[in-house]
Amino acid sequence: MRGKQSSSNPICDGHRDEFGVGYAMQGIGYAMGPGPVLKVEDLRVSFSTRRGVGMAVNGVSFEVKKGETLGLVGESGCGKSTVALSIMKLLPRPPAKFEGGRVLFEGEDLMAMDEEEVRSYRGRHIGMIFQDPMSSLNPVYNINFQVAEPLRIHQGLRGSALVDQVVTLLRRMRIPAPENRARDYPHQFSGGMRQRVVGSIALSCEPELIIADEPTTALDATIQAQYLNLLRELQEDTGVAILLITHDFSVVAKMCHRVAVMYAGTIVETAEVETIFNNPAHPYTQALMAAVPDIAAWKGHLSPIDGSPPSIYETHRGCPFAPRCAVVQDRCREEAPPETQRAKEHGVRCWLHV
Amino acid sequence: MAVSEGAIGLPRPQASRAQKALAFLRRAPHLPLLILVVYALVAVFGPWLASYDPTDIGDMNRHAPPMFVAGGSSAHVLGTDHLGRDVFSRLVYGARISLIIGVTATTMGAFLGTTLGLIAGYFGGWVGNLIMRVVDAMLAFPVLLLALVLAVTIGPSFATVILVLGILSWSGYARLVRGQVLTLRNKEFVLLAQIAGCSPWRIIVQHILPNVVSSIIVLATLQIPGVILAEASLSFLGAGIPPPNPSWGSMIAQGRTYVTTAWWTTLFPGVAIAGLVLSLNLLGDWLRDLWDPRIQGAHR
Repeated sequence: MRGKQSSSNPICDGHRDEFGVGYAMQGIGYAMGPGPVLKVEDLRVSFSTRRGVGMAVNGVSFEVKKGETLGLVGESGCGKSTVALSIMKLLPRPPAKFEGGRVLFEGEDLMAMDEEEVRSYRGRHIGMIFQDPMSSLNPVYNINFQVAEPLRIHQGLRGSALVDQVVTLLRRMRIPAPENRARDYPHQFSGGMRQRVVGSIALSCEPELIIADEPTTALDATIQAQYLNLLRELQEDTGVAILLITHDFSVVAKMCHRVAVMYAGTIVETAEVETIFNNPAHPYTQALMAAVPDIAAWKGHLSPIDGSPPSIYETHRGCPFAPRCAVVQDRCREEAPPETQRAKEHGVRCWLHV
Repeated sequence: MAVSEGAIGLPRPQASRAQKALAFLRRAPHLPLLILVVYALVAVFGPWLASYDPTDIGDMNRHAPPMFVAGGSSAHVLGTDHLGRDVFSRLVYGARISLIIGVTATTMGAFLGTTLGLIAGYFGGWVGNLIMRVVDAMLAFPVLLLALVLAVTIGPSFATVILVLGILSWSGYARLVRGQVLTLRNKEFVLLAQIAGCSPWRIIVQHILPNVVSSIIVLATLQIPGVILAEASLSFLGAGIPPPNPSWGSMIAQGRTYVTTAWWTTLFPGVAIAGLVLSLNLLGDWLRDLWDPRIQGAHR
């Protein structure tokens, strides 16, 4: 599956409609894939700081299948990015500490590996795209050097084969005149173009999984749409699995097949994207959906969720969402709810559904 | 949109003649480079240029004025000092000593400080804390006193001066580099380099170091004159270059007493140091601009 990309793939031809690729078109491919590319089981990560020990990720489980995009959504500070960096084992330790769980990449537990072994997975099998295209590229090196680096290290490419591969990658991310632009420095690119370069780096070794941590948050709306379309086309083309971290439901609607909703370090609901939008089960997901402004049914005010998420340094009994929940029961404050399967591909952690 | 460039261009501030001259100097490193080449040539070929032995007191013709001053003669172009030694010859021989000390000690300090700063900034932890506490102690302690103690303990010699000044000038680099590394290591390109499979040392040397080199060079060009002056102070206190040997610093130190009557014994070494300092600073500015890709093109 991981053969060389031919330069005549449809992405390069570039006459496809920029905005019109239907979500349904890719729905079939991913469901037929084999086992999950990435399976996270009961991941727990803590941070030791002066304020004490905080559980940033408290028993997170999910899986991403081949050709699928899983959206990991939640508000700021709920642990989304910590999950992403834990998968890559890139959290600075200390202060971070891995407390338990498994991260299975194609059946291999990354958490049990030493640094050397993990390094052979990063970049080669898992690519990553960060939020800020301004600081994702090293200002002192040209684009060619930076896109070539993983190819040099992981695939041992040298000389003209390396240059050709860099140009091919830049072309796949639709960077105009890649032969010339490869010699330019990051400051000579716009934000959107830089993020495409970062995409080229993530794709360079044809990984099975790309972790995209809010890849479009720093881009403006039209560039955002272009970038997401590009990612989706690449996914159709290569079958790469994407773990998309975001707090933007328009991005979720455009990109994701399934969604995991995260709150205070735990996943409260996992479901297919239609279910999350049309039939959310967890009160937190319902409140989030109510908070998304709807221009067609504009009520003249926004509907926020009252209160604020708990600090990771507080220990709490029961459901972490209980203090803000509209339908809270006594039991919620005493005991954390277990995960229940409401339907295939629809899990929820709430006493209402037990 | 037919808007002429003048209409939308920002008004340029009127530069004075001095500012224009300075801007020219900054743009073209030719003059500082030329001056530095002359210094280097003088240092290398000193023995052929000097007409006297720098330690030769001759016929004890004390404080003979330079040739272009009333009473001066062409025998001593820049006059003689309080022992009758030829100022020009001492200046020429001193160039070698001062330049070697300045460059070697600064390089040593920069290398040491940068290495420790990179380690403290990137790895942090107790090692980083230890390094920074030592830096704090070094900055709080009068360096000259420490240098004096060290130099006297080891015994004054050429090598001692270089070693002592080199070892004592690292703290500034360590602090500068650590500060920059602390911000750089949180940039996402460091994470991407880790993802690309780079080892910590490769990240430090290949991804972080090039981002701080320009600051190190600027600091180093500012430190060289400091080191030369520190050597002068050591010489003045008798712990520097052993006496009859000339260095610019010791020439100024010795001539200080007679500055009102025999100004040439301090002025010429002073001018020599000033020329070196200015040239190095201009060169440093230019190198910094040259190596910063963000402002590339401004010089082309």
